[in-house]
Amino acid sequence: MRRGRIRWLFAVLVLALLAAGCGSAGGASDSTELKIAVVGPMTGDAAQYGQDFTRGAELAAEKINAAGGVAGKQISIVTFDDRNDTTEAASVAQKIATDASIVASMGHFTSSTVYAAMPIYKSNELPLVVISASDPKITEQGNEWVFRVSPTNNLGAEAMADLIVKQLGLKKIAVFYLNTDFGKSEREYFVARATANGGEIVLDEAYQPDAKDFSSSIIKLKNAGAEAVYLSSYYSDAVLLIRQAKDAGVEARWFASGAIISPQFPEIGGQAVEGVLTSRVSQGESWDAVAAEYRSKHGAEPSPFVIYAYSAVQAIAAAAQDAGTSREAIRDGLAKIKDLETALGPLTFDENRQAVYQSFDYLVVKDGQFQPWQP
Amino acid sequence: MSQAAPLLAVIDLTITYGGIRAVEQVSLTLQEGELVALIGANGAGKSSTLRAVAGLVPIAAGDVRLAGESLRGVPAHQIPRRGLVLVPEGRRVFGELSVLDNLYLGGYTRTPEEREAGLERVFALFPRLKERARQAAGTLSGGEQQMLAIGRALMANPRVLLLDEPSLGLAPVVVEQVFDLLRRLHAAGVSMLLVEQNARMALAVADRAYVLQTGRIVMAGPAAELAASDAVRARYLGAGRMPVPPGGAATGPDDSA
Amino acid sequence: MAAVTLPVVIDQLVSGLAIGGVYALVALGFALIFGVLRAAQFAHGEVYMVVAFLVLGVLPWLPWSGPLQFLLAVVAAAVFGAAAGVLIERGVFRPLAAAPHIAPIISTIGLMILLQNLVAYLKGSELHRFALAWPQGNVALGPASVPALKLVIFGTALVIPALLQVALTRTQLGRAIRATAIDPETARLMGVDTARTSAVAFAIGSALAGIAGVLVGALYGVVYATMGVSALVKGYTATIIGGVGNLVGAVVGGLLLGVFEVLVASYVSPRWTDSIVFAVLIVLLALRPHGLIGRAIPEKL
Repeated sequence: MRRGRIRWLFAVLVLALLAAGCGSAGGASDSTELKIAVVGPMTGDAAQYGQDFTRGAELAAEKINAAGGVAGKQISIVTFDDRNDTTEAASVAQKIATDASIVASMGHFTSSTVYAAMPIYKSNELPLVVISASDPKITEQGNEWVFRVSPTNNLGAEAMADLIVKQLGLKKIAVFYLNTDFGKSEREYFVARATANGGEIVLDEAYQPDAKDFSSSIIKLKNAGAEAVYLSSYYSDAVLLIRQAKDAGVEARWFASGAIISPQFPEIGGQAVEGVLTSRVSQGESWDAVAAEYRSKHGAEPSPFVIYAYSAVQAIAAAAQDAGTSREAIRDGLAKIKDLETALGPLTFDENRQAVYQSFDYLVVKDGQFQPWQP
Repeated sequence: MSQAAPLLAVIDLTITYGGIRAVEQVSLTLQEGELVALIGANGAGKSSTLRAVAGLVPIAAGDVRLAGESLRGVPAHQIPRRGLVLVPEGRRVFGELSVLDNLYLGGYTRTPEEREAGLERVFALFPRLKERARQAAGTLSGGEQQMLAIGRALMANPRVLLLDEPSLGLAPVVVEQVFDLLRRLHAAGVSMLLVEQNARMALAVADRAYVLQTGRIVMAGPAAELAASDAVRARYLGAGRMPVPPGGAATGPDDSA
Repeated sequence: MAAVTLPVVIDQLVSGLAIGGVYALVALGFALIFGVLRAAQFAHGEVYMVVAFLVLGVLPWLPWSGPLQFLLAVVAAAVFGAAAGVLIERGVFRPLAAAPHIAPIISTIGLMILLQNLVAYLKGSELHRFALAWPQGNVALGPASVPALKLVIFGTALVIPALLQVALTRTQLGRAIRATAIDPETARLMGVDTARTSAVAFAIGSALAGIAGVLVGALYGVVYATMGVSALVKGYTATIIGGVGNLVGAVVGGLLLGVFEVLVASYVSPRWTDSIVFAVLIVLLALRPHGLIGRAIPEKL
């Protein structure tokens, strides 16, 4: 009786360990399939982003497959979990790149995980399309296997610095940044442009990725005399910081990186995040069309990462269609993409395999939603 | 009195530890108001017998009856409620708790009113404990701790008190005090089963005694008779030595621990 | 860095005591369970997390606002926590009572992973908004203006251990719990049903974790599936600071840890908080293995 119960407990334990540790395993190679890996945080604090990646990629794959697929093949999306951890990212990348049935990979959420994984894709000659990581230097490494459809963070950061100092005339600025490759690099571009514009950084505060209690930073903010606060953050940190600061009685205008754009931001932030300003690459009709598809399927507004993932699949499919379905052919096909119609609008890779972006829109949280901002 | 049903009866008790028999077919009785001693060498099975009676050690065979009711299979924590309490070897007071808390725990199975009455009784018996009521029990001297351990057991107002080596590790003067106390309790009519290595002292206070040797009872009878028997004198009282003079500091071979 | 003025320091101390109060409750529950069962309850942080989610679920059913809502949320947390504690004690600890010591430890680690993944699966691993209607705003404290919420959390984290202390020292059940922790066999000789007492201690300890989960939810404004991990780490750290098995020490250790963290974050950098805290912990363990106040207070549990 007792022994039976112990065995039962061990079975539960083993199940739990399996549930914690596993990603989806790749199936057998199938020549009628064009297999694309989607990798990102599928579990843990940032799992929301992994889900955005998966949903965006699957939505695009369904659409393309319904229209007959690519070069006679059906696109199949396989997801992998790197838990937003650099060590895990490298080992998952190894697993993906050595699976001969996979012809392209897309994802790794943060710049840090992309940096950890990109040499592995190069040495195993598998194209990687980056769909969120925003450090400009990622595409300045001369790694010809790495492409990026999402914008670099300098663009958004500089647009926000212009808005705050030039357009709104707010000079005293506090900056909070996530202490990661993403946060540090975005902060650098923001601070450089803001000071060049004549702004003054009155508080410059880093925080750790797992921070939930911002008390000590907020006390500094309370006493810094800032007119504007800029956050190089993801939605989860930004929403906590803003709510805790408002609870503590901080009065300043809030601005944040485009990385915060997610339906969860106004949902969790509630009244506290009303009026927060951010920026996003300009959206065309194609974006709206995909957003409508997404809404009808998932009943929620898509984050930009859904659109980036969608566009990445479109780009890979176009490359395979034009140049062939081998890894190398897809790499060559991607490099040649110019003015391809994607969810993002016309997509062109520059000589560094970085998607070219022209204009930015400012968004404000109003009535619980991100809406175009009117000055 | 001897024809009345015994208050406590141990009947053919056998105890095994991992297949090895520690106590084999031990039978003994305790009448109302009696003080019975169980003596024997180290490892003879004295403590095991007491622990089995108190429910701490499973009974492999035989039975224990308290006023005719079997205690076999009754969980240890339900036995005090039935009127039998063991004062464990080594005193085992709750050192980090106050003297008062220790006593209140002794009356755990009693109603609040009974506990307060018990407290008065115990404080009357041990004025020293009253003085130190707020002190942590671990800060008491060895003798005071033994008083506390006995006082704590008396809080349950038991029909039978089992005492496991109450003199162990105490200074000779204090040993005297402990046995004085046992005499007083005996005079007050408390029924007691006493396990002791200090056979000389035990036989001096007991009405009757049993001698346990390697798990079996080898001798039994009135304490005075056993104390006078050559076999007991040779084996347990130190051969050729005279009985201890009253108040004397002589120690037997067994209680040097 | 902001100038070091009295209002700033008061603000910092209140922040430290609020989060420290949460650590103290977690640590107190952990120490109580450890004291009675002699085994670390690694799923303690998950009780905190699950209860926070359960209370979030019942909040809409509490139509009251103001202090009454806060009080009811705390009471609900205690009830859910105690229920979770009873289930874990019955389901994990009691069946393994006779098994080797490592068995319950492995089982609670498994339970920790299981609960975390279960909640992540059911509720998603994103943040969930957790807001209580009271307390809001700031109150004046000397020359400083500090969030009322933090004062209330600190107050709660003082009142509850004080009530527990009274219960443990003034009631027979409390004495029985303490006796069971010190010497279970002798406690049984007193007539204490130690299995039941252990279950009660487990339930109380888990209720404390549940209350802490709700307080931290209110403090941060969110709850999330992985929140139990840091609670376990911080609670464990606090018990080590206070001395394992020492209830007063657990509370003092939790408060000290909270204040120390805020001071390091304020005057060194938030980046280094955890590293410095653990460095100090290692030094402390080397110098005073029984905790900062391990020996100063003789009354353990």
